[in-house]
Amino acid sequence: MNSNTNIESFREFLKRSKIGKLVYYSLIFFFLISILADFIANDKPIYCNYKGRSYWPVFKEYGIKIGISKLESQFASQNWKEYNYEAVLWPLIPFAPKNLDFTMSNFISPTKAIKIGGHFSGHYLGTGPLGEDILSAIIHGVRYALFTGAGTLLISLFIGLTFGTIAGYFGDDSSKNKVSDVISIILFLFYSWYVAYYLNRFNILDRLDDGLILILVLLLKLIGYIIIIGVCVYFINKYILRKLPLLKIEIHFPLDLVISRGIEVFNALPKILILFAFLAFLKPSILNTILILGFISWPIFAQLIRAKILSIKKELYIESAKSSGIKPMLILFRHALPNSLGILWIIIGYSVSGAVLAESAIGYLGLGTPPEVLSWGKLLSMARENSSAWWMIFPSGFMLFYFIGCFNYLGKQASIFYNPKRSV
Amino acid sequence: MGFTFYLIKRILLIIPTLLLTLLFTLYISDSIPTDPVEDSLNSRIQESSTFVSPKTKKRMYDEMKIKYGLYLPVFYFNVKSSIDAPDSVYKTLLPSDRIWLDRVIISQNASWKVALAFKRNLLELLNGQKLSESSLNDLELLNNSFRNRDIVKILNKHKGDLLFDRLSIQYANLKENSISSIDKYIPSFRWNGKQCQFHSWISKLIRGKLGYSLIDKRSIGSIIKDVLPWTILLNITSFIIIFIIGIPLGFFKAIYNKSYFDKISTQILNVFYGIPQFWLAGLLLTYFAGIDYLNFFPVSGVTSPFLDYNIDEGFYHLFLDVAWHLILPVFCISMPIIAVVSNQIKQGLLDFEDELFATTSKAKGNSNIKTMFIHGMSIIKVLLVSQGASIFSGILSGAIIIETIFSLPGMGTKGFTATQSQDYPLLYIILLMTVLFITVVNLIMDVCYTLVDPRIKFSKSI
Repeated sequence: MNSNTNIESFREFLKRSKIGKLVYYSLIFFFLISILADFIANDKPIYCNYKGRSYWPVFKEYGIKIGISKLESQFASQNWKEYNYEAVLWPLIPFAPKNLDFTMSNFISPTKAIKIGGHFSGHYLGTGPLGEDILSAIIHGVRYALFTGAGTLLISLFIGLTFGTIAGYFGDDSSKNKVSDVISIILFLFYSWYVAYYLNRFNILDRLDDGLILILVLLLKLIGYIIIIGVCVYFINKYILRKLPLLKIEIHFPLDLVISRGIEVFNALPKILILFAFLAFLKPSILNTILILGFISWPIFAQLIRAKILSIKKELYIESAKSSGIKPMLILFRHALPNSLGILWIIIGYSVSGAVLAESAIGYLGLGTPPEVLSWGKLLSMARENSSAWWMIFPSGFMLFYFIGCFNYLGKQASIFYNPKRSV
Repeated sequence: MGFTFYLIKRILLIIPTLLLTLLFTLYISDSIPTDPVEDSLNSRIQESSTFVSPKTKKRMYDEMKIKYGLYLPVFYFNVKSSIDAPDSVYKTLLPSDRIWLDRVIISQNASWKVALAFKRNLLELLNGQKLSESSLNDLELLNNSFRNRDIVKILNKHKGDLLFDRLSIQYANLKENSISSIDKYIPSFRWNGKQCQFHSWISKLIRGKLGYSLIDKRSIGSIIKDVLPWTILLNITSFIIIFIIGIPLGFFKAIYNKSYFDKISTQILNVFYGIPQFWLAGLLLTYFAGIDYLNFFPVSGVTSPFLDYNIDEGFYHLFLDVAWHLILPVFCISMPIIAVVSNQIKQGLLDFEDELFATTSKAKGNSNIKTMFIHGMSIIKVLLVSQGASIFSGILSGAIIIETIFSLPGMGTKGFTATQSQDYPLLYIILLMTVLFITVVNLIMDVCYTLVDPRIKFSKSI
């Protein structure tokens, strides 16, 4: 194994060329923007002094979202521009994307936005059909794009890793499994589907609207259920099923074949049609889109991990670990899996860019995103009404192009870097 | 012997792939808590703006279900919680009420009999006597709320109101009679046998009957017959264009490596590779097909409406007209793939330049171009066959979006509208056709690969 394949040396490799440097710093820039978006473009002041007291409304909003603080009663109208502050620090762009400026509705171009009313209105890049601030929407769009990419990546990584490992490590043609093991795996899969999905299906649907924290709580709860079921099934298998005479027989169970066929089916499914089909019934939300994208884009991860583990299994250190009597699960988590994860870097860049591309494509066709979320694809679709709105078409399209280009370049460089034929 | 065995094995493996696709889509459509028949019924009632009593609505619903053959259970067996209401009760309810019942039973551990009594009473109140505006609103709200705190809030608001008193008592009864929460963790199976939608649908499919669309009531076979030629035309044209432009481009880029031609074309192709296809399509539509800017190309469709063709030169005109309509879509679909293909061919040719046989050929006095042409062709052949499947699936998935944006009457547009109107029978067939397309192309490419590259051994691989 090449010792030079850790993440630091990949960063050095990326920064060797001029474009690589640009991409590297752009990625950091995207990350910073997505964290600081609320402080760059928001309709609330970052700091204000009102009637002798100091407030930090942007920070306060985070508290309100989590549920630990409440809005002060004097700010109940939520129209932050109408108060007479003694001291105030506004964000660079004093508009949030969902904040409609009705005096500036119906596609005001940036050049016009300066002239209206004799003073500068604060819309650096003009407005959309209902008075949305375009620059603010583009800046918050970075956050949606990164969120979509990262979420899809995490889900597909988790599923792909699980199936790829099972197929590559346990699905060997030569190995035989006891009937009791096969039965307990089927039992485990069925009962975790039943408890985690069937009994909680309405919960999951409700939580999708309730916000991130509650979804995380629910997810942890469901994972807890699955772990409990797994432990129960393990002990049932160990103390009851394996003792039964008929279930002791060893058979050849074609796990690898089954999973490979599953991968082929998912690869053959037209992803965009499946996305259309799902999103037509589900409520439009970013989280739904991410969930579906994650569930249909795992095969490539599974394929890569499966191939890598199959090749690693023939390595000498696995052989020696086996012959010294280490348990197979320990070999998997200690040796086989850590050494095969590097290959995933190749697909991570492409996976993020693919997810963002798909999300914006369905946003462009008017699906997938709720009305208050303005992703780049949604901005482009809004601009279809007015073909002269260059301030909507080109900036958001260019951002999408640049974002996708950066992640594609990352994927390309990673595939050169992790190519075993590469001379160091 | 080995080859025929391999071929038969591959062809037989298409069947489980199709079956898995079918089961997957069936599971999706079954697990989503909306009912297309009820939705279309609701929109029909709203359009006619007449009052329909719930009993009539139920009767109309049943009639529609029987008409479309959807009254049967979906699959050979179904899994339920043991505390769920039996199927015979479900048959007397509309899907939205059924979902309400399910939710209340699962979230509050209610006994289904009590929950059903509460729901029946509620529905009776809603459609019975004349009510004041506020209590009608609250009853509707109650009809749509499942959580304990929502229901209690509404019931408390109307304390002392005669209308709501019975409901309150029933709800208290529901809370009292709740069953132990362990019961719901016991699943119950029900075997439906051959009396299921899947069985009847698949046995019709084997006999070649594709069924009827839920929306425009035409037979799916005739819809596909209308739509398929255009999709095939679009895909094949893009495929040919990619080959005609991509191969020579890659070839010349390799010969004139690092010249201005190579550098500039690489930059242009990079732009086309990175640009989102739908945005490219939108830009071309706006600036080359709209009425505001250059009006060179048509906005939508594949043929001009109201165009008369002479019998003599009909085909020629039709050909020109269709070509005129397809220029922009084919351009959008093929440009990103041309970028990939030409780059790969260039890379493949450059890699082979270092090989010994290339040096030998040059030593014999052949020029650079001749060497590439003689030996490079076999490399291009292998490259294209090994990438053929991914090129084809790229074209197909691009075509779905591009067809929708240019509103061409192809499978992609039909699939999009079918998903929007929840036209399941049509959607299943379109998905199946697409998957069949992709798997067959994969098979053909794999077989070609073994023919083109004799080093590949096919007998062991699956």
